[in-house]
Amino acid sequence: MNKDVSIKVCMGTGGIAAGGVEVMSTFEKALASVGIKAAVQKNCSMHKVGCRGFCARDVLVDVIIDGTKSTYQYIKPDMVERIVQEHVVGGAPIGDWLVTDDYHTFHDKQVKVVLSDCGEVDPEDIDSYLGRGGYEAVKKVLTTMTPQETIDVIKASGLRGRGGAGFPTAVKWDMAIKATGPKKYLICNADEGDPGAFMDRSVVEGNPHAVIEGMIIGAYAIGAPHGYVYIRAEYPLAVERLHLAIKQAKERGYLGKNILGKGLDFMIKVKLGAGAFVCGEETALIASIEGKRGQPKAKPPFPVQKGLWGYPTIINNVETLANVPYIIRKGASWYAAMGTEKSKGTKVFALTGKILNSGLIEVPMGIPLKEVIYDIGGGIENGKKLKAVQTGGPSGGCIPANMVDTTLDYESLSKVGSIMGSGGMVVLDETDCMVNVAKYFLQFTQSESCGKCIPCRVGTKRLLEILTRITEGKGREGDIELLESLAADVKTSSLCGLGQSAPNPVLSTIRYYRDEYEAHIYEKRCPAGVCKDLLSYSILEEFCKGCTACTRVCPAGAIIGEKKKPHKIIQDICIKCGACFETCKFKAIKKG
Amino acid sequence: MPNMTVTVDGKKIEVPMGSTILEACTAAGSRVPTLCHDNKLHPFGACRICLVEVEGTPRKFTPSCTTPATDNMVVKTTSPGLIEARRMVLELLLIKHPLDCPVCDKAGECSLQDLVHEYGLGPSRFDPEKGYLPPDYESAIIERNISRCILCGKCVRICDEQNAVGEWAFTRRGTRARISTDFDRPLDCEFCGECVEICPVGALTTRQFKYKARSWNLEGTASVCNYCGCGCGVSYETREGRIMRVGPARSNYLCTKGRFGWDAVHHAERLTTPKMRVNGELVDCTWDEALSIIATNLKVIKSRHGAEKIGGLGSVRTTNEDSYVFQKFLRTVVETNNIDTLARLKTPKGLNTTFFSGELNKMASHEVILVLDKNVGEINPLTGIEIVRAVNKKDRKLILVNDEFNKFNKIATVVLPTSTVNALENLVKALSSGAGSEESKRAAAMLKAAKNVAIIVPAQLSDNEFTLIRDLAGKLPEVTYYPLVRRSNFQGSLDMGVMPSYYPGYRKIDETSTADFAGLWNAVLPETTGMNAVEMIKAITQGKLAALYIMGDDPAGSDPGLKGILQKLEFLVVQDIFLTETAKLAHVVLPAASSTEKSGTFTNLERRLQQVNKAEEPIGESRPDWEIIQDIAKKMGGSMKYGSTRDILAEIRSVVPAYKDLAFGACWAREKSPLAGMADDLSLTSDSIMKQEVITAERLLFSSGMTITRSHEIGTIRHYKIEV
Ligand SMILES: Cc1cc2nc3c(=O)[nH]c(=O)nc-3n(C[C@H](O)[C@H](O)[C@H](O)COP(=O)(O)O)c2cc1C
Ligand code: SF4
Ligand code: SF4
Ligand code: SF4
Ligand code: FES
Repeated sequence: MNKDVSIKVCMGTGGIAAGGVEVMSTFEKALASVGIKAAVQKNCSMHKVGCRGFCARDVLVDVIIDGTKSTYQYIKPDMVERIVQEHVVGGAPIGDWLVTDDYHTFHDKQVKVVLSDCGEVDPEDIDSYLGRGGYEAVKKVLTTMTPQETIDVIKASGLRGRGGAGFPTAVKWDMAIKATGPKKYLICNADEGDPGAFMDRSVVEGNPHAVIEGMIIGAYAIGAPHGYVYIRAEYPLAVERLHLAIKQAKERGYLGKNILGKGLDFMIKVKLGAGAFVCGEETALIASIEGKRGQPKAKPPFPVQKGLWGYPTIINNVETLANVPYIIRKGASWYAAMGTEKSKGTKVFALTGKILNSGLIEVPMGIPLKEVIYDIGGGIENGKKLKAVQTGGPSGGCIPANMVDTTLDYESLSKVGSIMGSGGMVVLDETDCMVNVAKYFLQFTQSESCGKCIPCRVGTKRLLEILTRITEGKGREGDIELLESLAADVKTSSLCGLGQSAPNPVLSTIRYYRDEYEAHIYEKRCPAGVCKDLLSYSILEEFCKGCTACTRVCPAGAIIGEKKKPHKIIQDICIKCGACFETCKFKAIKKG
Repeated sequence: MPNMTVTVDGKKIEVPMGSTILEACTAAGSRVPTLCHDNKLHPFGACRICLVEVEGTPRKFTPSCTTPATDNMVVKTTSPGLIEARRMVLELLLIKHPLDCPVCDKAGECSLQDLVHEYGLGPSRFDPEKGYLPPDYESAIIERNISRCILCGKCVRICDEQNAVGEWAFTRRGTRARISTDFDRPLDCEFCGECVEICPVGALTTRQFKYKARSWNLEGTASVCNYCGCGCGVSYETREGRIMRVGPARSNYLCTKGRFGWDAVHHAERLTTPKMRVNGELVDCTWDEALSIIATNLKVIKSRHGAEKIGGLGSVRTTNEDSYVFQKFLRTVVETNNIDTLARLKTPKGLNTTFFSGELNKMASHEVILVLDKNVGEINPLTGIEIVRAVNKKDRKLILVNDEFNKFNKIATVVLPTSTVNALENLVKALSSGAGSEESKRAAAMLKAAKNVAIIVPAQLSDNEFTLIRDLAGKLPEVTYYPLVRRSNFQGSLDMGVMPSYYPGYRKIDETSTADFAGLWNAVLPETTGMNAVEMIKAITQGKLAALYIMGDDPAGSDPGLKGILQKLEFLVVQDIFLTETAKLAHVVLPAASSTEKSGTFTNLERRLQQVNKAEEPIGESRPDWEIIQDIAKKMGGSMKYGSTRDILAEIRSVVPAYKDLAFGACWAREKSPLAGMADDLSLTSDSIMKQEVITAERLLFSSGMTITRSHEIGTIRHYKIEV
């Protein structure tokens, strides 16, 4: 047998959770047992690869035979034997187990830059990255470009910070190159505290060397001999792979003293964050690295003037930095050709919520939201109707269904009252209550407020309190106006980005769904049927067959009635769990 | 520094580059409210009440305390929007505030109360939140009422940035955030009360002032702290003529002794009447009886044994006026030069000669500060604070000699963990030959590179250390010394000539000076110099001193070994505010007024002349020291007739050149000192004297710290080391 066989098993956190390790070891054993061990050893390579975005279908496995790739989904260890027998040995892929068409639509509209090597390289092996052109960009800048030229390329590419604010990266670096002093720092922000976000984690897990390479280029451009990666401790796999990658990069002379003999000194330290959302904010992050309470400081002075330990400091997001080597390698115009006039390149989103294909996606800036939802995402789950899309996480806002033509770029999103943020994208359908959505995000920001400044500390608590009472049917006349006025003050008066953006979900839901708020307050009704306290379940006698299915599922014992006679729900006992509603085959339970 | 132009509320003004918007507003006369800002601290930006509008900026409002002003900036400090935003901040603060103003000691001087009043807040749009946390009475001195706290962080920052103690910290997050200590334990700090002073609301208060007075009923009297040589300005705040509270004058700083220790003067054991010994017992008597006995006895002893068998020990805590009158009485009426203070046994060697002190508020002007006494913070707390400020506010470098560990280690650039003498030897070596440990070399390099260096000189020095400091300084371009001085008016006692061989103003006693002073004072003066304190005590044991007049010192209290010696005296007069161990041995005891009860001047370790002002009436029958002595002098035929301390100061100004035109609050200059450039001989701590077999001389070093032990408040501090 002289085939070139390569098996790639998805080993992102999702893949591992789904049993990736067992799948891989079973492959190893199965391949060995078919007796091609010695001969195959050389050609048959097995890679652990990082996240490939399609988390819903783990474990995903690529079987590549002489360059022809077949992708299997939902693979379990007990399926491996058959794949080896029929496909690797027999040469016939198992059709039923292969990914379906939508796997391809999922990929077709995507353009991968940051994620281009994720799923392809072995994140634990520097040679795998080097084999795909890794560290070429470092070689290029160190041998052929001055720091200023490096910054100029980034400037021409139009790259903007992916950490949330979209600040032009080259402008930041320009300020840093001009800052003087004995020391400078470059920090990679891998704190990623938004609920539901895992873009940065996937990049670090899937291709840590790209982040490191981006940092080396950044360090060269701004003249910083020291780097930190601030990463949350809840990402153990990312942390482990990062450490390993740093070690390997150091062994190969890409980190340390006199990098590639070109006189550049740069070393990276990894600092674990304790998982406070606010520690993603630059000044709080710096305080945290310094061992102080993770609490923001007033700006100015900006970190680039007075940052870590008082020295000029640049903080860049993981995704921002991971873009850098590709821009250097392929050129600024290649990158700038993607996207809109002011938003260039691609953006990674974590697509979640009521969407068929949830997972990590990378799309060109300026793509219509519609295409993301219906083509990449495959539309709404369970044939329900799209209600809105929430972007930007707890700092963002929502885009109602009738505005799905909105394009995904910094300018358009801000025009409709939302933000790009770090790339959270939650799809909401008709069964989602918008007041409840606002409450959900406020619960998060309120509990993450560091407590330093008054508007955020006390203001977010009051916002949450008012939202809570509205969802509990205790809303009062004037509450919407009070929310608006308080939200506006918290926005303008808070010290840091957390407080300044925390009211966004409230303001944006009021903007588009004021009627839903009014229904809660004045009619004591939750149109989406979500807010429990505004719900009641009752049995429509004319439909009830007395089958007793509901009495059996009711955990509270709230349903009474004789067999074959109409049943009744005792409202005082009912806990509004909705079990009867789900169970009744005759649509005899009324919700509302 | 170049200026820039800023327009505030339509008014164009010039402010130095680097000013914040708040500073510009203040300069323009526009008041912007603040809650978390204080000029002593780094900007923090937490309360958001200082918002202003800046033309042409993307954000609607800008916090003025944290934002630098820029040239041609146009600022508006009020607008309907701003007022609305400020009202919102106040409204949010009140939701959780207990509004217990009627029983809050801060009422009347509370920033929150004032602002709520100013902005006229009506009924809240939010539901009040109950569930107040109970007050914390666990700590000494300071009470914490968390529910009143607005989390401005001033207490946290002052304790860290200015004190380098860092006792307070924010704990927990979000709405549960609060200020507390590690593990919420009781305070274990310096108890300076600076956090209480700076707290804008009643969240931190003192037990001493609790329910004592409403702030608006207090009257302030500016005066000077009577504990250490720093001489901090205090404001005695009185209600109906009694001190209720003490605060810092010019809002600079007070340590625990200055802020809380004053209550010693209200102690129940204050002497209120004169006493005389009858049948071995001290019994109350009238002033006339007491003064007559003294006058008679001194006259008899003088005629029987000669004036040289009478001596006087003055005080380093009484006013210049008291000291001046004391030495003048002994010289012109008793006719002896046996005049000294025990404190000279712990004189900073070289004070006023080699080590002429710089001004404390200029500490930050030195690039490097070399601390040779690890106890600086305990001996002279303000000196310690100025060092911390220089390091934390102006990024000055600190070289610390410390063989233990204390708060200065935390802010030091280099620590030399060894004794002072070793450190000095190493530094001198490293500076001349480049040899030595890493630390010494680093320190030496820093010293060498600095344009000017401050050296904190220990309160006590051996001859060797003294020489080494001079060697070290000889290798540096510019050095300013900051000697440590324990007592409030030690400098003044020297200036006033409470020494056996100097007249006031450091005129060495010789034929010419004696003739001059005989003329000035219109009196016959002794021809020879007198005995110093060590010699006097030795003389008592040898029967060569028969009578001793002690004004404001307690040798037997600090060294019980002296009791037996003092008992050998034929006649002992003690004038003090307490019935001290020494007073208990006396034949006559005179009740003196405390420094809160009289006027005069102190001269602190910087040689700064400062006014002491009477804040309350002398307790019982007690009287200012100078008045008592003047009466004895009169009874003995002397001619003193000062009407007030002002008369005395006028005479001092005419006799002591350095004081001639010296303004209150100013320091007398080196050129005014006849000692400048002279070899050191004011100190009694030279090795040769120490080696003399003088009683238990070592214990003498710790004399004169007895007042503080009578402070009730300071007594409640369990963990804090008080220098006694
Ligand atoms: C509350 C808060 C949380 C933040 N969290 C993150 C984060 O988790 N990751 C991140 O890259 N940026 C975060 N940011 C943005 C950073 O402050 C900063 O703008 C960013 O790291 C800069 O990198 P960029 O220019 O590459 O975007 C956060 C900001 C705020 C106000
Ligand atoms: S806005 Fe919130 S998170 Fe930011 S400083 Fe203020 S309290 Fe802290
Ligand atoms: S105790 Fe006082 S000074 Fe400290 S944070 Fe609270 S309000 Fe501010
Ligand atoms: S530092 Fe000295 S003068 Fe100042 S308050 Fe303390 S004891 Fe008094
Ligand atoms: S005074 Fe400026 S934010 Fe508090």
